[in-house]
Amino acid sequence: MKTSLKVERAKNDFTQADLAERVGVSRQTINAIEKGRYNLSIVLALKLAYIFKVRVEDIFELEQQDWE
Amino acid sequence: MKTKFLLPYRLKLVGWVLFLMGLFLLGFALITGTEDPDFLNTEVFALAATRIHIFGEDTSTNFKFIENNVFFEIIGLLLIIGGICIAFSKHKNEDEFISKLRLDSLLWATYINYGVLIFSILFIYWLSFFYVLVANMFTILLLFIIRFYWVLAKSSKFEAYEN
Repeated sequence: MKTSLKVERAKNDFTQADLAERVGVSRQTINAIEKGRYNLSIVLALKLAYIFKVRVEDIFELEQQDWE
Repeated sequence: MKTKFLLPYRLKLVGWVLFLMGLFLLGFALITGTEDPDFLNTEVFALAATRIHIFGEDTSTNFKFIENNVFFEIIGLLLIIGGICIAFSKHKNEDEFISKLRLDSLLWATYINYGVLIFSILFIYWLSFFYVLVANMFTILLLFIIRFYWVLAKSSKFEAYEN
């Protein structure tokens, strides 16, 4: 899954710690999502989209390998 | 992914204290050759207790009080209860990613633990196999703790490079 979380975070001038605190997860989680090492839950995706006032699809995008 | 089966975070410290006490007593017993301190001789209720006799028949005592020294029982309980508290107390920031690391580590520890046991069933015999079984009581917890804290530390290290 491709993500533009880091870009959205930079646009909004949030550190990983800021964002983690806002959505109630650890900094490790935000880092793992940005690095593509962790596929997050729907609830967390919706929370992130809510914080950035965008749609979930604006931050996360399926890749070919997600269908395999 | 939230689970109701994790212990409260505060038990982690209690776990470390109990576990280290158990480890210290075990080390002390192994290094000094201390076995069965007299003041720990006591009556215990045995659901089952079979004694092996080299000359003659084995004897079984079931559902009765027996005389026993509880030194190694105390060590075993300290290690297991301490280990469970360390392994399954919530992390300070327990969340879905840490729960995933926890589940992955538990699977990994289970596979390795039973892999070692299968190997031991095939290649280790008699009294040596008994020692493997004794060690096996603790290895799954130990493997889990090592793996879980290692991946947690690794993900924190990655994080240190980011803002």
